[in-house]
Formats: sequence, structure tokens, C-alpha cells
Amino acid sequence: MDEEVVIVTDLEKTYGRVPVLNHCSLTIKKGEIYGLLGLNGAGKTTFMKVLLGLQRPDQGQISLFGRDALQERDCLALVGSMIEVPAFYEHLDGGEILSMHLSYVNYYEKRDFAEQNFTPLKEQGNIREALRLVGLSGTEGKPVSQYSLGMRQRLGLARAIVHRPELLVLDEPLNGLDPVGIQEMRELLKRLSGEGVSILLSSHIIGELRHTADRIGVLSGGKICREFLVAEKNRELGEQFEDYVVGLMSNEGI
Amino acid sequence: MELGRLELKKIKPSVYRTAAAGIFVGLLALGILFLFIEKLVIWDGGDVGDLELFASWDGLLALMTALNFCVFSIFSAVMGAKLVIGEYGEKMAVILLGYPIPRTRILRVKCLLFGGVTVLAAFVENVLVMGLMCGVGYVFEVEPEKFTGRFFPELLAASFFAGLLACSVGMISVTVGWKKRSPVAAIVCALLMLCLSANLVARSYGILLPAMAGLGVFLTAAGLAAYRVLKVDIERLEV
Repeated sequence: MDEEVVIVTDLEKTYGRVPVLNHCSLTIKKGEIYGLLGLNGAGKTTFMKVLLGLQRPDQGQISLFGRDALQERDCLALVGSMIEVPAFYEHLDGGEILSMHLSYVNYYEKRDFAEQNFTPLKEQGNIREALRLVGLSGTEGKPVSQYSLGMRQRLGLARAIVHRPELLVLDEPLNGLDPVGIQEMRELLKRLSGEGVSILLSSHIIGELRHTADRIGVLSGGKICREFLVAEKNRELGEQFEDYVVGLMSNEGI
Repeated sequence: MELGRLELKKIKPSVYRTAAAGIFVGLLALGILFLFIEKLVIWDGGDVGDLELFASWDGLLALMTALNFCVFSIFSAVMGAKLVIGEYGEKMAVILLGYPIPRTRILRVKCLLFGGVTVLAAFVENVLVMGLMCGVGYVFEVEPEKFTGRFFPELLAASFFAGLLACSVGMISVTVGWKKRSPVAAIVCALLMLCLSANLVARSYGILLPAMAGLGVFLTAAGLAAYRVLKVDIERLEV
């Protein structure tokens, strides 16, 4: 559990002259659910996009599974993600979308991943199992154009987990889900965490992270201004937990 | 091949097959009409002096090749816009750029796909349409003149050049459309280029191959430069 899967050091990113990330650093351990909390516009999504190579940082280092993620894209094969509202090819059905995703992720599966921290991707992943886990069983033949918002969110999560990643990067994954769906997703994330999958979860809703994350980092002013273990703070503060976090976000806020 | 297969899956190939079939039927109908134009004018009591383009296989080849070049340039621009602008310019880019595959490799496959399909389809259709025109002309005795030995090699070469030119126009149009983040801009760019270049092809009967080769060198170089610009943009793209 103590092995560090993600190490981000002094990340900086500006849009024009506006600093979004300012010496932002964090670490995520194996099997940990790390909640990234911040106000709207705090830089949560930007942080995740930089982590995934969708944007380039101005400064800083990112290590995924002990490898320099800025130089070696191979490590993205072990990462599953859902950023913003998931997008799909509307004429395809859920099974086809997951199959296509597996083909892309496993494109280099024949390469020698004999180095430490990497395991060969021997199996393509079970598409039906992924759809079952997110509550989309029996929808394989239905084109995505006929999906509801909640179904799209579930399919996005299925796409993130179908190739059995070791790190999940999820940007507000519970958006659009009904209360039952939220509960199911929380249980799924807990289960994955128990199986050793590290999860970086972002939200601006405190309750969402309080019930899901092991550790929370508050992103404000472009950096992680405060980190704490959720269980400890819950025991310490009880009902005052949310007030405490709101106070953190407001006092340190932009 | 695997990446090519995945790209095809994204774009509904049946739409492009239908388009190619429609183009074939349209061009064939026009070509057969052109065979009968001289006869129709004579029956109508008109002067055939202005119908030089329709009075020889060289003229018909130049005209049909120009038309083939035009329609497949638009075909290429549409397909390229769907594959490139439709993906990198939209939300799908968040997924596509997150894969552990070099960005330029995926882009190269996309460009080879729409370029290759264009060259192949344009070549095959031009050869088929002209071949069927020859058959119809022979059967109905409306051929403008007897075939010479150089006609068929010239047909094959002209068909290849038509595909190459259409592919180059498509590549340039897609890059312009990408810069504007607009598939419509890609199609408009293709149309503007065709206004200048298609007439050159149609009017070059007698010297068709040298004219197309010259235009081909220019457009191919421009197409490769456009690809390079697109490649740099995609490498630096942030979403």
C-alpha cells in the first residue's frame, strides 16, 4: 500500500499569463483513492490533463509507476481515465466502443514490458465484465446515440476500467448519476482500490469525496494547500467535516 | 493495418462506399451523354465546330479526368475533415491523445487512409467509366474516333494522376480546415483550388499527361508541406 504510483513534483502551468498550476506537488500510493478537491476553476481538470499528457506543463516532473511520464507514453497503457463529459462515436454501441478502446490501449502489448512495475498486458480485458460492473449489462447492441446522460457516464467509466489499469484518473465521475448509481459507483471504486488500483478522483462536491476517498488534497492557488486523511478528519470533526473543508477552500481560495 | 481498421470503424465506411457508387453512376451518365453530344447537335441542325473537346478520345479523356479529379477532391476533403478535424477538433481528442501511441503515428494512418482511398477510388472509377464509355461508343457507333495504341496507357496514367491530384487537394484542404477548426472551410478550400486547377486539366487535351504531371508536382509538394504543418500542430496540440 505504501508504494508510490504517482509522484508529481513542482508542476507549473499557465494559460497565457494566468497561472493555473503553481508548484503543485502530490503523491498517490498504490491502492489509494486520492480525492482532489477544489473550487470551480481551481485547476483540477488541468492537473489531470497534464498528468495524462493532454497538456504540457511549463515546469515540473511527473512520475507514473517509476517512469518519467513526460517522456515515456508507454506508461499510459496502465492508466484509465475519464475527463470532463465522456465523448463517444455515436453510431457505435457500448461493446464496440470498449473493443476499440482495448485495441488502442493494447496496441503495443507485444512489446517487452519486463521492466519493474510493468506487467505484460496478456489479456484484452472482459468487455462484458466491465459493462456489468458499471450497470450496463445487456446494452451491447444499443448505439450510444440512444444512451441517457447517466448511461454515458457509466460507459465512460467502463472505458476507463476495461483494460484493467493500475491507475484511474477520474474527473467528477459521479456527474449525471442517480443516487443508486452514485452508490454503485462508490462501491466499485472501493472495490477497485481494494484490488490495488490507485485512483485520483476530482470533485468540487465535498460529500462525494468524503464517502469515497482515503485522502483528500485541497487544490487552491494552483497548489495542494492542504492534505489530510479522510478517516482521521471524520473521527476528529464528525458533522463539522464539511464546514472545515469549506473553510479551507474559502480561506485558501483564489 | 490495425490502426487503419480502427479509423475505418469510426467513420461509417458504407457512407463513402455509397458516395463512390453515386460518383461512378453520375460520371458514367455524363460520359455517355458526352458521347452522344455530337450526334445530338447534328440532329438538332447545330454547328459541331465548337465541339472539339467531344470529337476525340483525347478530349473526352481530358474532360472526364478533370471531372473525376473534381469530385474526388471533394470526396477527399470530406473524408479527411471527418477523420482529422472531426476528431482532433472535438471532444474525442481527449480520448485519442491519451492513448500510449505516438500522436504522429495515428495522424499518419488517418492521412494515408483518406489519401489512399481517394487515389484508389479515383483511379478505378476513371478507368471503369472511360472503359464503359469505350464499350458504349463501340456498341452504339458513337465513338468519336478509332482507338490508338497509346490511349489505354494514357488512360491508366491520367487516372493515377487524377487520384494523386485529388489526394493532394484533399490534404491541403484538410490542413486549411484544421487551421480554421471547420470542416466547411476544408470543403470551400477544395472548391477554390478546383476552380483554378480543374480547368487546366480539361483544357489540356493533347498534352494531358505533361500538364497533369506538372500540376501533380506542384500539388503533391504543396500537399506534403500541408501534411507537415498539420503534423506539427497535432504534436503540439493541447486539449
